[in-house]
Amino acid sequence: MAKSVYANRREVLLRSVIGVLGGYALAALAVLLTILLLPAGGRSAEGLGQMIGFSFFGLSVILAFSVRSAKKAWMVVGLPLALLGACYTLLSGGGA
Amino acid sequence: MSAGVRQKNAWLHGWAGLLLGWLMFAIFVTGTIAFFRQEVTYWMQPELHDSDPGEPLEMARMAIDRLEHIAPDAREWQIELPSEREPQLSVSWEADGAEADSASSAFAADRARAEEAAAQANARGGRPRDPGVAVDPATGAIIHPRETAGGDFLYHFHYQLHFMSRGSGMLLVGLVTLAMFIAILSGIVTHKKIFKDFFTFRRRKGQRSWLDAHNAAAVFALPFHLMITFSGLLLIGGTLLPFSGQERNRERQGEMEQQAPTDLAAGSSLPLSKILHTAQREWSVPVGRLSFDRRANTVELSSQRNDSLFLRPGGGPGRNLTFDGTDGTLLEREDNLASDGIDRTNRAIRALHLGRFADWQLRWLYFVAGIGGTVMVATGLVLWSVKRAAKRRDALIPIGQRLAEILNIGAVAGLNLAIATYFWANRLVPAGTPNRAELEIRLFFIAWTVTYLHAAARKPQVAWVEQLMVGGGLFALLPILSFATGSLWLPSAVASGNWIVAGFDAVCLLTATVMFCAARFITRGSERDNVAQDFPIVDRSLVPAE
Repeated sequence: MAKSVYANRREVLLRSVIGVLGGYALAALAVLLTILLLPAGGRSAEGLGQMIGFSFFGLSVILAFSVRSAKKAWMVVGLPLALLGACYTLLSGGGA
Repeated sequence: MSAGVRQKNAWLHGWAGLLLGWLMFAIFVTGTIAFFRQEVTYWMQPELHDSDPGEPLEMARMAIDRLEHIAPDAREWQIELPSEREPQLSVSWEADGAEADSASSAFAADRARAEEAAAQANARGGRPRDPGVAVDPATGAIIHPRETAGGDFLYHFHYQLHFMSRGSGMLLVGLVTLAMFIAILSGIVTHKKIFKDFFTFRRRKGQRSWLDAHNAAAVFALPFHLMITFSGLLLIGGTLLPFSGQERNRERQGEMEQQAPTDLAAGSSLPLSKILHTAQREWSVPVGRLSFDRRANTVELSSQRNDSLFLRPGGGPGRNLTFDGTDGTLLEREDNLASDGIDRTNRAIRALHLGRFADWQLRWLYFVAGIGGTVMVATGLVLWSVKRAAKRRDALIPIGQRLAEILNIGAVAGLNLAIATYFWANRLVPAGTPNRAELEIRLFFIAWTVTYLHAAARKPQVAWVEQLMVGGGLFALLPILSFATGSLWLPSAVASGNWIVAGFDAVCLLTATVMFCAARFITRGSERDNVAQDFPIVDRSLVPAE
């Protein structure tokens, strides 16, 4: 747990932001997309969305703190986030 | 996996575990006790310990007879038949207005008392409760058990805390659960030799012993820890990820519409034996509750516990049968089974967390695994400060570390002491005290607060030992206190075959033993340290050397 694990505090902050907040955003998008895509909808879709969402969250935090640099962390979590975000914008926009 | 990744995850594991670790421990402890929520409540109402359950049919008849005397004007009656976990017969009613004078004169006082108690409980919050009393199945005598929040308090605390709104409590618990989830995942990643280390225990090696204990407790019940954390996330998911896009709890409003008053069906004409017989044939589980809708003249029977993971896991029984009140024909069979694979998965995960389907053997396994979790969190917390103490050779302790130590002591030893106090209060606060349920809870929090102050006032190791000894002493004397206050205690409970009370007392004695052993362990450790001046200084991170 020494300082040597991460170069500096800025590094830790950057990883925390993308890991925790980015991971949360991913989870939220997972719920929204599942509800949107699952024809049955309702509680059942919400439950599935949460299962996927929480898994995404866990994965994001672990990845964000495991990869070599903060920059890479932003890419690893940021890309899927952008992708899911785009999907949701397109799908929900098309439906409205 | 490279050593770098494991090291990074060790860092993450340490911080995710520490930041909310103190609350994590409290949630794990109260949640573990909550697997025996009903049994704890039963222990906390010693007025109920003397009655033995009889035959379901006889008991239901007796209950109906009592209801006709106490609440002849009620539009709904409910009878809870004794179960393995709650071996008392209780009745409750729902009347439009409190027309207490309609009760026959012998029971008017009973009714007034029950309605007063229900009003008090509802003012405390929680799920609305109908007035009710317990009935001795053998004699038909009305029993007013002492007012207590019982195991429900510990159960509610483990997911919505106290002294704050339900919403903020659940949010906070949700954040703790997320941290727990991360701590478990990173703990697995960082752990290189997960199998080999499980069989490693280096005694009397200070930091290493704590690490080995932490690993053993974590790995021993790893599937349980993962399951309980992930399912906990899902159970609280609506609070953490409120993006369902639809409002909840709107469906119920339709049911609440006022019906015009009609004649109330008499209970005595009910073909009870036919109804119970049908239920026995339809279900593999015993009947738990009988609900009478006296206007529609129907009776709804609910199963005692769920016999499938795909049934609705909480918020009411999974199986119901509705009968006609006059001729006892089966009108409706309702099984709240999941409709599709997603729903099944969803329900099974939640049901696993709540464990309401579990029979007593499995329930004990849940309990033991839960204890494993509490040991995991506690040793993790201690490890964190032991490690920092080991690195720092100068005498000056920074305020952050001192604070962490105080919080460790209050959260781990202090909580156990507070729970013991809660049980002591249950036996010592007189049964008739107004608001006594609230008083018990207050005493719990007062004791817990005092432990933090005590930890701040004393040297850490002295505080640990003193709190563990006092807490252990309270638990050890609890059976004797029961005896002294005229309740059933271990020997008499074993003699009369009351396994709930006997089990409760046995667990108290076991808890006391563990707390005494922990105190001894710490005393020995500090004696050794006085020679060595410090904990063995092994600057070893969670990652074993290559």
